[in-house]
Amino acid sequence: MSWSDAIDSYFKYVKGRIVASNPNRLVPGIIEANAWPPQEVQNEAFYLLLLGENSSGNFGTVSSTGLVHLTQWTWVVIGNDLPSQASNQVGRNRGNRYRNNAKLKQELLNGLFPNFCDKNTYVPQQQGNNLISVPTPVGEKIWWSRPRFLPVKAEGESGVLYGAAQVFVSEFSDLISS
Amino acid sequence: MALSKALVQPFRRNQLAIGAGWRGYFAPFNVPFWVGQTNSAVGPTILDLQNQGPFNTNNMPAGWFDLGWINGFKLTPGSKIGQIKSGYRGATRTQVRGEIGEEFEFKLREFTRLAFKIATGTEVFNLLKTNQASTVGPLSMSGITAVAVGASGYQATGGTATDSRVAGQPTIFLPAGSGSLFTAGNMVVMDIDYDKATTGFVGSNGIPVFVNNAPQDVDFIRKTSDFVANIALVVSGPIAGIAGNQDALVLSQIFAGGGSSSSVNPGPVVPPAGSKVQQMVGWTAREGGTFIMDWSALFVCDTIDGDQLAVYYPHCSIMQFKDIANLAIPNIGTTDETQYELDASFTALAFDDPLDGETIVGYKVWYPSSQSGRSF
Repeated sequence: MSWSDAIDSYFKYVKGRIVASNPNRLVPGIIEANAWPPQEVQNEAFYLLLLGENSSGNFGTVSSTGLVHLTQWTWVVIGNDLPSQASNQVGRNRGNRYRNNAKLKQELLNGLFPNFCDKNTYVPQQQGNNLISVPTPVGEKIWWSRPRFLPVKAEGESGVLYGAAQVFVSEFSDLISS
Repeated sequence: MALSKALVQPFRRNQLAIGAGWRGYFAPFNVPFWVGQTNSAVGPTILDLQNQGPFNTNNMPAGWFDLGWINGFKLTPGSKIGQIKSGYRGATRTQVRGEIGEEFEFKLREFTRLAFKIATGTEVFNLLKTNQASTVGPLSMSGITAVAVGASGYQATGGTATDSRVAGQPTIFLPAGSGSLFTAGNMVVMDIDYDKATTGFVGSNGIPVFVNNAPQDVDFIRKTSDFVANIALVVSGPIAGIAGNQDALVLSQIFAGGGSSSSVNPGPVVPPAGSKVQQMVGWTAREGGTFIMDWSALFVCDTIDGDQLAVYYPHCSIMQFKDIANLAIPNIGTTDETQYELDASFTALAFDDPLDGETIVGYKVWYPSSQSGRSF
């Protein structure tokens, strides 16, 4: 078991539901918030940013601390160009950014349901020339808050929309026995 | 040596109960059957905790009605334990159980007729559609003429109909031509006429009527009936699969209620033979009066680890209808809109457990998940 089990489990669970509802949706991966943005940002793809952890109050004990991970789902929406041959099409280039952004939010809200999942530990395994991660349940659950959708930012020059939603993920840390 | 467990408090994380609150289910308590019995074990809608649990909240046992989204479910124990003290020092030598009781309260966030009836704790009166206003009393006027049902009566799943508009749907069948008296969207009640003479408990709801005080209203049983629904669709006959030429009122939901009868337990949960259909516009609960409605109740809390906690009260009734309370909708202070919830508290009544004859008022139930590695 490791520190990253909860976030890995959470990410894979939510990604699974998002992709199940929209097989074309890209959910590239987890990155530390300071590393955002990566060199190449995929349009209309969900990135999971990690903003840190907190442990407070009577949430767990010193042997198994309750941890709250602050995570942020982030995405950018460029909007779609009208096909050049569609001269009779009503609308503007990239005029669908609002609707595309709304679709992303709906997919994320659905992906987070029902706000808990199994906590797994992931062991890398070689499969042919690929390295895959094999989940092993650790026999407990993690759970998370409802999303707090942040105000959408529109980049002034380009008009690109930046969407984000914060979610608090809760777990108990691995037992420290000695 | 390892640090003391009392110092570092290691715990088993899959032994914690983490859920999303309680959900309430109510079922009829058959008062007419229960009165006059020497044993309080008769009357409740019995749940077999061994055979029927853990409960599938998506498919509850027959007769149990989902109260929807509730909040603030809270138990208040009323049982007392007395102490017998003796000796020079007056030390407690033994303890004995005194009076038994428990109260519980919760708020109903979904407004339904059943929720209204349970929260107010009174017999709820259906407000029938009438042709003129009464100057005698708020509920005095009889409704517009009740329409007799057809030969196929009420069918919870459409009976033998093969017409796709009716098959599988809760439906009231009417004689051909009577369907035109109704339109989709009408709210209707279906029950029998009152003979203006019978006293005691009348109707499938077991509504009490005092001797020498029989209401002189042929619609009295329909005014107090639970068999109400909205009409989703009116279908003119003949209808494929249904004998003869009958019209159909396809309902928005099955009838839920009834359950009271002095001769059988549980009582009828569908309208009796000879019932008639009448339009209604709403319902009312009076503050005051004499009678208290009785129920069987079940509350369920499922945990994310797959355990199920349940509280079963074979017999309970209203203690206080507190309020139609405000529940602020979080909207960053920009709106005067508010949500309302029905706030009520209840008392658990005695039940003589047939297993050993002990008098109790409720059961706390725990179905551990087979997957959670539960310790015992």
